[in-house]
Amino acid sequence: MTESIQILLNSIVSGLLLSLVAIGFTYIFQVTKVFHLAHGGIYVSGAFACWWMLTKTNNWFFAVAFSILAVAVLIYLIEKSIYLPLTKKQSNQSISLIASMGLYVVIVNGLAMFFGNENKIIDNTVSGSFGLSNIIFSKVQMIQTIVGIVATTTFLLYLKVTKSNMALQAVSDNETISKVFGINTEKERTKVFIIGSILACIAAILKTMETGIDPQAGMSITLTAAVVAILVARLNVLLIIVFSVGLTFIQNAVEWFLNAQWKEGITFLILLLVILFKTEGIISYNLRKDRA
Amino acid sequence: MNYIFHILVMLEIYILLALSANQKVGLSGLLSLAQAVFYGSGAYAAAITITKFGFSYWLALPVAILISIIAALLFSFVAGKVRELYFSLATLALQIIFFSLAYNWIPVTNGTYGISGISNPEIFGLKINTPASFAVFGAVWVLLVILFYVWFLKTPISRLIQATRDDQIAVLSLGKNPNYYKRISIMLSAVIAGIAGTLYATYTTYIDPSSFTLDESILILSIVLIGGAGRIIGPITGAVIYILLPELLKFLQMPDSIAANMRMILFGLLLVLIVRFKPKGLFGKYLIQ
Repeated sequence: MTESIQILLNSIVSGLLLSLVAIGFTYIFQVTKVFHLAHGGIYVSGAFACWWMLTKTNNWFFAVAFSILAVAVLIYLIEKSIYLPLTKKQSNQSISLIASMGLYVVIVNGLAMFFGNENKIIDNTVSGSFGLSNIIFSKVQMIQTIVGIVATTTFLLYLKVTKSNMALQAVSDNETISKVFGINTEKERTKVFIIGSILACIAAILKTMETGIDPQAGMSITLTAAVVAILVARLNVLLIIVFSVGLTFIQNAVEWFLNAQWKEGITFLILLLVILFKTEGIISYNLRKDRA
Repeated sequence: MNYIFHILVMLEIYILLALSANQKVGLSGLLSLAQAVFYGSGAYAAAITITKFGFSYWLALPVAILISIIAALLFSFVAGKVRELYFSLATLALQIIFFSLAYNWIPVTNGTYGISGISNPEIFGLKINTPASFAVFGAVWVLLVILFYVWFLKTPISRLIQATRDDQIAVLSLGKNPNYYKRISIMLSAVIAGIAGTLYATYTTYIDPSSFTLDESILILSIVLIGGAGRIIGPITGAVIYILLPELLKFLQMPDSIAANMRMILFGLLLVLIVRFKPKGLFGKYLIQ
């Protein structure tokens, strides 16, 4: 019983971090139709930028601000020089997927070349934990939960206050008609890429506080976020969080009862079954009803 | 001198892998992210039959081809159900499931420890156990596959495979089943990648799951796309660029510690630039649009 509660607790915290990556990935995928595997490169870039700035200044405020700025500039350059021109050429999703893979390879190997392949640990982080009858909740987990909830709520508020959600839905449904109705689709795309990347950056920093970071760490979480994006198949933050926590719980249970190496296999078996038998995602019927 | 022959053997293995991927990507238009599954199936089938059952290379080869074909049937089923991006994602899932199996199915694959002691091939009592002899052996396989393609590309079945790539509805209107031609193409691709796997396993005499990862599949696909899909010369050019790039970096006296990363950066950059400015690749015929 204690084990199950511990797994559930860990899954909620890790699921929240995954949901930050997945929200960014889903928004980018649904709005721009780019299957942005380079999101993994952006994730590790943010973590490395934070770690690097911390080694120089030992100041968390500067480090977080610098990493957010770094990923924003990086994704802006990628969108303007690669993704947007490909979209203008009406290239299909496979082309942008290939470009994204190439970008991921460049970013990850660039980081490995400059900083090395070994895991980087942040020294200036919190330690200690709270305990209640064998159930442990570390202080880092507490920070991850609070910051995760604040980041997600801020994102939801941003969508509500700026009415961006409507514009994003419009661009997602039909970019050409959105332009006719006066929506600056290029600007909306850029915003989606930058905000999605900032969310991934926050998740990466929070994860780095706990486990450190290495250049290869972004692919696994991005692929899991991609699984969430395919399962949910719509722009709904709460559903993404629920699916992220659920998937993380399955992964943690597999890791606990079987072996850590099976968890990706099981995750992608779920993806394969959904792709083969429910291509439009698990909640596709509701999606159609909502849009009717 | 042995080093040059080693480079040559690796080049031959990658040419075979690139030609096998070209069958799917270039001729069938199926953007698969799982070519390493067929490569790994062939390598593991050869390694297991040789080390556990005492098979010779020539007995292990048909088993490896058979196992690769069985894997291909699974991919054919996927190709029949979904298309374009969702096909790529399904193959990505299959690649990760395969890696999990290779990593965790310890009684069969020996997990992370891998399989060692895989014996070299023999022809008429002559052991192929030096880089030079393996380079000749590999060259024979490459030549056979190239000659096969020179013939195959002129056959009606090849034209129907390419027609399925270009316009499935037109193929249906001719009374042909597009899925049948996709199946043939995937099987052919699997057989060639399986042969490359047997070569790799018997050349290195040791295999483990790290040689058959998603990264390897992405690399094989990149080789085809950079060289150009749809022609024989494209994948060969891509493989030559990939294998000779580190040698060029050595010529520039780049330290080994950064040469590996620099090789991947240049290769990744080349892939992005090709997609952005020359989508057909250097010598390609088929445009993935």
